[in-house]
Amino acid sequence: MSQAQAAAEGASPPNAGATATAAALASYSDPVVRFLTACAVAWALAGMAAGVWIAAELVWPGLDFGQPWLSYGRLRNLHTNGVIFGFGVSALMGTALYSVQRTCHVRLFAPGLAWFCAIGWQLGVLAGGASLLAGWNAGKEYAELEWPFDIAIAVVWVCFGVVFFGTIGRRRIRPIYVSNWFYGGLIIVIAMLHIVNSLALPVGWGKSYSLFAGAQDAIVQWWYGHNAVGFLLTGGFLGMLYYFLPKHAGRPIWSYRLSIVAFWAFTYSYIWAGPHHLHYNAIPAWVQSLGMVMSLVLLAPSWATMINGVMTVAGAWRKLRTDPALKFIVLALAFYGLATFEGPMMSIKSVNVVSHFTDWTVGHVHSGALGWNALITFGTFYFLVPRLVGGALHSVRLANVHFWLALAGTMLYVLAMWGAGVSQGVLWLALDHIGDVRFGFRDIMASMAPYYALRLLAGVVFLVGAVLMAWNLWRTVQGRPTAVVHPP
Amino acid sequence: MPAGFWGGWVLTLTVLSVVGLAWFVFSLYFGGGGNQGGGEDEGPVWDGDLREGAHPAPMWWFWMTLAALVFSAIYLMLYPGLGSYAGALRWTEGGRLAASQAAWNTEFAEARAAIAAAPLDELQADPKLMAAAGGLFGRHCAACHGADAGGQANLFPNLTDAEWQWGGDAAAIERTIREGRVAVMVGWGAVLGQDGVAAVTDYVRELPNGVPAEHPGKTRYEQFCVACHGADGAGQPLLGAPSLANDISLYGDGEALVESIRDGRGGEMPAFGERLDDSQIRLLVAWLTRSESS
Repeated sequence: MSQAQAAAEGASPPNAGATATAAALASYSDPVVRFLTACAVAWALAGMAAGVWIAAELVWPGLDFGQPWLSYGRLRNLHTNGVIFGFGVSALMGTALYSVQRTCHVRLFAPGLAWFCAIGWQLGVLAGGASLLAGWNAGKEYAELEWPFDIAIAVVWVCFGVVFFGTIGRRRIRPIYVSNWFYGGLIIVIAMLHIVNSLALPVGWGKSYSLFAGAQDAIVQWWYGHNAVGFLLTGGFLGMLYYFLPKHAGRPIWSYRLSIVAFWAFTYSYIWAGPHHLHYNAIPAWVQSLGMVMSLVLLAPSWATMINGVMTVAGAWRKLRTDPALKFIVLALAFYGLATFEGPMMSIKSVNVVSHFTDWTVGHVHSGALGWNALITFGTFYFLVPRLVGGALHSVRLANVHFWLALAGTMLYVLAMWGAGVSQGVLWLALDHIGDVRFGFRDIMASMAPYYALRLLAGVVFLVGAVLMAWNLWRTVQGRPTAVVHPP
Repeated sequence: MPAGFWGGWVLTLTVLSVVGLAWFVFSLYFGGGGNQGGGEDEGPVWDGDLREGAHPAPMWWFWMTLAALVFSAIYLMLYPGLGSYAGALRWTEGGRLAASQAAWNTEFAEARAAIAAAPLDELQADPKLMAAAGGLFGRHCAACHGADAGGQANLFPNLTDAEWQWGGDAAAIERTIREGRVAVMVGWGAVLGQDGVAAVTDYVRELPNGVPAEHPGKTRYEQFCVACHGADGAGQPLLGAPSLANDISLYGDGEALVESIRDGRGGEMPAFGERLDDSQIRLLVAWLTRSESS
């Protein structure tokens, strides 16, 4: 079936009139995608460098040079905000805008507004990062930015939603492709979480108090925190997977039906799971139980997606030998499967007794953040960037080197933090022969030295790989205009 | 436990969700049309080559989801979760804490009572107990007094030297740990004047070499300081007044000594009687008074 036939077959949505058809003939709005991709790469380097720096501070505490803005407490927020909101969201915004046009066969709705989102977001993260270094902090994990930034984020995010859903609204093919379900879930749920969790009473430009107090504040915060992981770091990147993997493998999603079922099961059960961050804390027992039960249910839709991804590549294994981008995506799927198995296990209350407050949590987060989010984004960029300029990747060899550095960095990181976390959990619980705590905080902290050194090494290895990628992508786009592509 | 309307709300929402998820999965596999994909050849084509793969959802995924939902249902019957229903096991966090405390008591209470009543030299002769006591010191005391008990920052006393501001015998040390201490030295700047402070400071510096027969600060010392620190500067442990007759000076003996006399000092050791039990305090006393300590 030709593309023209396909476009003709996809019945026009009810609102498709003469204007929509005229707009559709205009080429895809790809310069904004190119801009967001470049920003994502820059944030990857900055955010990961901040991560390496604080890892080094845990090995050599003097590295803050007595400067408050270089202290672990401030740089750590810069690291998390830089990689999640700088790198992650820029990549998601860029790939969402790229794929939604192509799966709707129409150029972006309100391209000017898309530029507003793209630039506004970068300015927000940049100024927000500076405010974190200056010591502004709302005190909520992954929602540290103060209220002026919260309002700016909400405005930009809603505009992003208008562009995305506006594009879907005038699509020229009736069924909505599965990647758009996930990107759409990302936009709606993050807007809801961000706005509710950020409700606060300002008492100055850089200081506010949450509208919620005590245990309720904790529950709202982790409803936000866990679902930011769920709908941004998981759901959003699944949107990326569902477009770029089949596109790249040149094969249809193995079971399209399973992908849609998994979407709804995933969306429905994820939103309950937040309280597993608060096991054995001062929140009601029934809230903890429901959080744990729904976290376990979540394993099913998570693995449905993993198996769907793996089976989609199954017919294209040969490509893995020659194509580093596909290698990244397949490895990301493996880490996705690992992290989405580990998460439900850690939510079991008796496992959580050992894992809570330890570096195991940090290891779990990074097996997702490095192994899944970063790797799939790298793979996507190696595929996307040459297409954006209508050329070939500057160096496939360099991308292969990056692949091995990224794999080694992730493995070393995760192993170091598993070692550190499990030994912390076990040592904290150990009693001596008279029933006292056997190992003091001091002793356990001292025993972390080798793990922390290994973590630093892992971070450096991973960062070096990202630098190679930045160079490689830069050489790919250097001096080339953005390719003009028309909808079919 | 949410009661009344909210209990019912939680119960209804949870049951509907679990049943709804189960129905959703069942209808995928066994509903009308069966478990089939859209069909690669008839379905829509997005962006040139994106199609709906036709493979049915695999059966192992059905069983996996079903197992998760059955586990959920059983767990929510046994443990608190369904609104105001307490669960068949009547499990509570408070109950779990009480049970683990009871188990701990069964295992250790007797041994700890014996430690609390044991003579110090017996405890000091047991290397395992002294290691445990060192651990206690590391967790509870080292943050202020230093990992080596050598004190720090000209604020926290050295516990390995001969000077014990509040008394160095076992009973005094135990009281210091259990009840804490608050030391107050008033500031004498207004009374002595600048010259007087300088003269008394100099006099105090002389005291380790013996009481000077003639000294410009002598009269004032004997008027204002002697009540607490004694004529010979030996101090008074009952008041927490440190000895001035040795070279040990908690806050420092340079400009800090001038400040001590002029502005006064306030020192506080918090009480640990609520945080440590009798056996732990006994072990710390034994550890601090053992021969290799000072």
